[in-house]
Amino acid sequence: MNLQLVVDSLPQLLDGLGLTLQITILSIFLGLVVAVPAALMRLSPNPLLRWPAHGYIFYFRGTPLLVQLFLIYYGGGQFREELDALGLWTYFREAYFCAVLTLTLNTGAYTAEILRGSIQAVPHGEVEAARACGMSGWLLYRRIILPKAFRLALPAYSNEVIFLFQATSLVSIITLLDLTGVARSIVARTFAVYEIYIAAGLIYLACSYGILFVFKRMEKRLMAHLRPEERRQAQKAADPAQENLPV
Amino acid sequence: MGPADTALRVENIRKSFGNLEVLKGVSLAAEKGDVLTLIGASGSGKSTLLRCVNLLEIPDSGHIFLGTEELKLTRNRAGHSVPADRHQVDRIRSRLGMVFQSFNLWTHMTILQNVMEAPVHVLKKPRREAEEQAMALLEKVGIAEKAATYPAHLSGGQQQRAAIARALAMDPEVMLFDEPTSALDPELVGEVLRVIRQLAEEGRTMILVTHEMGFAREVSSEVVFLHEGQVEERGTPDRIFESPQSERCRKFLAAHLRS
Repeated sequence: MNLQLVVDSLPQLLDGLGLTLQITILSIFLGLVVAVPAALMRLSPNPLLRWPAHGYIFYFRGTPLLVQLFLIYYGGGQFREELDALGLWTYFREAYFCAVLTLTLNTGAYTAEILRGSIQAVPHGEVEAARACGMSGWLLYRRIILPKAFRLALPAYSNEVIFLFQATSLVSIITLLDLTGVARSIVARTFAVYEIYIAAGLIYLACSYGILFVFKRMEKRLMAHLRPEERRQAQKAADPAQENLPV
Repeated sequence: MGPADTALRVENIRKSFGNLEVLKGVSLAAEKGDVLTLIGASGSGKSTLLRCVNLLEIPDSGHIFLGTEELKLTRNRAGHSVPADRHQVDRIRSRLGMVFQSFNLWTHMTILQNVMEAPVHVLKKPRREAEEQAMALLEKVGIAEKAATYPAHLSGGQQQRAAIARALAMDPEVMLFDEPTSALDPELVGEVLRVIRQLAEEGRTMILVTHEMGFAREVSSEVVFLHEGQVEERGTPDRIFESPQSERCRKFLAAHLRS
């Protein structure tokens, strides 16, 4: 084990981590922006909205991320003239843009499916109560259905974020120097395979743990209404509360 | 009393689920301040009738009037009955307060947020005003000290009282109660009935589906006995409970008053 090499490589590796985190955060955010309308379209009774969403989700969940990445990065070159005409070539020739686009579309599809499931799991009675108050359409979604669905989706969504964070390592294949990309180039130079990949792995591990920690905090905050210890306290307090009745 | 005093009127409501005709032409009318109680065996259509009033179920045919405004129904291409104007449905619903058997509070919001939600977002009231009103209503139903609590941390009786406050917050012209105490432990029924009785005494117009016969007799201005989707008998509570005319009503009451 050459620990000195690991220490010397650390600044480079952390540089790579910067790119990894940037791509992750951007894709997660944009993926969410894609996922909400995709999930709503997927649930629409109108087939003209439902089927495109269905096709999009079906494709991106059904094919390997690496194939999607190749298709957009290398496949883009095949349509250079068309993309040029649309003024999009400057974007598609950038590996960074292609990476973020692919990851966004990929996580958008998975997140849309998670959201669809949790929208359908929103208790029917609570939706009915909102309708009975005169809510409908977007107001009903914005105030009742989506806030509940996001909460229900949180545990599954934390998995998706972890998955995406690790999947960003694939972008090293299309020339980007993310954490994996940097590790690969150092290994190619020094042949210290174990040292460098173990160091890179530990950095991924630490970040994954960080993501889980953030989600745990978020769950604690957003799921306060389901926390059992408070419920037990409430039950203890329920009896004296009965005295506060109207007379 | 003239038509101007009619708070709610439904005429000849019919509703089928598949081949099962649940309502076979039912008519009701409530004057302002009336407490109309619907009784009947389960499956007699009383909950469906109540849910038709605010279009949680869409009647296949019939007329619904809130005050002088008629709810417009039309038919879609498949021949199903549908509301003609979605905005009118929202508007009419906001003028009716609904209390459900299973409370249906929004579990991710505190009690106070539950009560403020519709006034702020449907009626567009300023938050401060809505909050003051919500606190007054929670005071009225006796759970003001639970304002910051989540529904899951309350007893069933407290949750149902919160649900009543939520419905009252819309200042509805008519309150609809769908078996409000049926999901409660027996010892919690009293606290909810007490709140409903108070509303009746204040002169609120209410339509109540209940199995609490003693309570129905006390608070109702009219009792309607439904049997298999039709009004079998209707009258003042004294008349219905003392001398029911129909055999079925007599049997039903005998079975329910004994318990």
